[in-house]
Amino acid sequence: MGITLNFSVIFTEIIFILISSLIFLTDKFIKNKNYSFYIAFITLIVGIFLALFTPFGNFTYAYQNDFSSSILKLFVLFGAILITLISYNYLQHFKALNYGEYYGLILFSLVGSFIMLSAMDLLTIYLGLELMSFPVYFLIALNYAYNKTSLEGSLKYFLMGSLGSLFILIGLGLVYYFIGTFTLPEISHKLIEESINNKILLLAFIFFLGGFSIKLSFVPFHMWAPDAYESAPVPITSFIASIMKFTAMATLVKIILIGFNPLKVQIGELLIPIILLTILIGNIMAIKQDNIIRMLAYSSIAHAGYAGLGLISGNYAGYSFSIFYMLVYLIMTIGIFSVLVFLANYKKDLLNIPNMAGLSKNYPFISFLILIFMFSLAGVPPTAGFMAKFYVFLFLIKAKYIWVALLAILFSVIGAYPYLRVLKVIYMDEKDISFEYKYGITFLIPVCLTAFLVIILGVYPQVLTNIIYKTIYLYVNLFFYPQ
Amino acid sequence: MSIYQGFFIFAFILLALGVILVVVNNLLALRRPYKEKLIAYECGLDPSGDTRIPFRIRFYLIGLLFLVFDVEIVFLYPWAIVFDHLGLFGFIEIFVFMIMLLVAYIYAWSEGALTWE
Repeated sequence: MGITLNFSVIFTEIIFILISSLIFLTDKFIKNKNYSFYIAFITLIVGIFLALFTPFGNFTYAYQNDFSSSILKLFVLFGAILITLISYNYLQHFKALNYGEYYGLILFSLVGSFIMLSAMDLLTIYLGLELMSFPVYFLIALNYAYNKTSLEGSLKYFLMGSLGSLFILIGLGLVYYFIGTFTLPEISHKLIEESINNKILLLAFIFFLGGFSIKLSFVPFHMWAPDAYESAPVPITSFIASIMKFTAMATLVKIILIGFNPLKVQIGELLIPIILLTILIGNIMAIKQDNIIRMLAYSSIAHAGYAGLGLISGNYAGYSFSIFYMLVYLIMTIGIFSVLVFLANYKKDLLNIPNMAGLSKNYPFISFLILIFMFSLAGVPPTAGFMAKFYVFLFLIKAKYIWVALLAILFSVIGAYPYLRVLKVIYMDEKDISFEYKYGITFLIPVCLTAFLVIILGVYPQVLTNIIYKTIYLYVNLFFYPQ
Repeated sequence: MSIYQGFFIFAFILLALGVILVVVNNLLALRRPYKEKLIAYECGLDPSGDTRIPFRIRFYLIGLLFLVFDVEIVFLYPWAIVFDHLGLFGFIEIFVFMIMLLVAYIYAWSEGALTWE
């Protein structure tokens, strides 16, 4: 454990922070309102090159750039580019949202996500979690001009996020008192070598789980999700649902695999009631919702539960399919929210499900896209959602938790209703909607790309599955042979 | 325990004194309230009007900015003591910290958070 300071390893984060500060300082003095979009977009493209070509290495013992963190950063950057494109489309029609602060805060939140993904130290993970969450609290509240309840949603999320940070800090204190270090590989090694009481470290992990389950919206802490999702600007809702959950799940997998490896099976057993309740409550509460964004918020609670099923099976493949599920969920979420941006631009009250009746008569392309994404969310075969659910349930059954898998499948059948109801209203109701529309290129690129990926991953997921499995393999290697 | 013994005795006496004063007063004091004794004091007149005044949100904003820059100052004090020992590396590191807070200061200034009305 040494202090080696290769600044070239953190070059990506430095560039993002500098450019985001530049956006904040100069946006008031520039006349062209789209200036900050161009800068943010170019920064994200540069960020993809940097994530591919940054040298592997350590920046002190706390930040490590290797294959796993580069691949996970690439996934996050891919999602962020699509969200930036669809934000451009959204901000053309909703002009009261302040452009400079919007893109600058998204870049800061991405820096926090990168820090979480490459951290090897519990305190650095906490730092990244706070840096990722604070800009999002402000981004939700930016919607004040169009929806006065956005302050309520943002404040609810802020208070529950602070509660989560409280739990994480208590867990950190317990870990430090009993082990003496925060670095993840050393916690596992001290657990194995010295006879430290397993139950106390399990208690510390339960506190971490409490903090992370607020970000992932597991059940005792899910109440912020519907209000925050409904009242935020639509692209920001997709940012919260996709990138923040992906980062939190990947970090939780890393903490379990590298930091608490001897306790894997016990952690899996204690997660069972939380995950089953999450799936049940997420699916049941989505049935009665009339606002499609609220329905998608409850469904995102349920999908985080499905991804958590991979954490219950204590085997390494289960963890990799947990991350794969969150990646597929990222692609689906960005797709469906891009279609909702299109609908919200032209008629705000189209976001209410009974008002969408008869959409398929005049707008077959939009209805087909909604069909693909709703089938993928429900888990219907040729789409990626089915593949992800299949693999997660397969490894759960291989770990001999058959009754858990049975209950989860029952609850997911309940959960198919909200999505199919949307499709029924769009395709089979007899009403007439018509409005003037135009397909901009910033709408077509995210939507077509995500729809294409959803269908391709439904029949041939092996490419991404192999990459994510290699990521987990490298984490396990790091645990057994620390450098 | 032997170093902090004096402190614990001091804290305990303070706590006990506070509790005793309030509890004994509650138990032993004479209480004969009547209506004119219990109304709010307004220089001998009858009370009139609303007791609430509008709160200026500016106070909250100034308190928030004070908190942020005060924490910056708190971080600068230990650096100032060991400044010699840290050399050029420590100087550039604290300079980077201050530049990030300078960005926040310029942003707050240009948004008009430092004006009174």
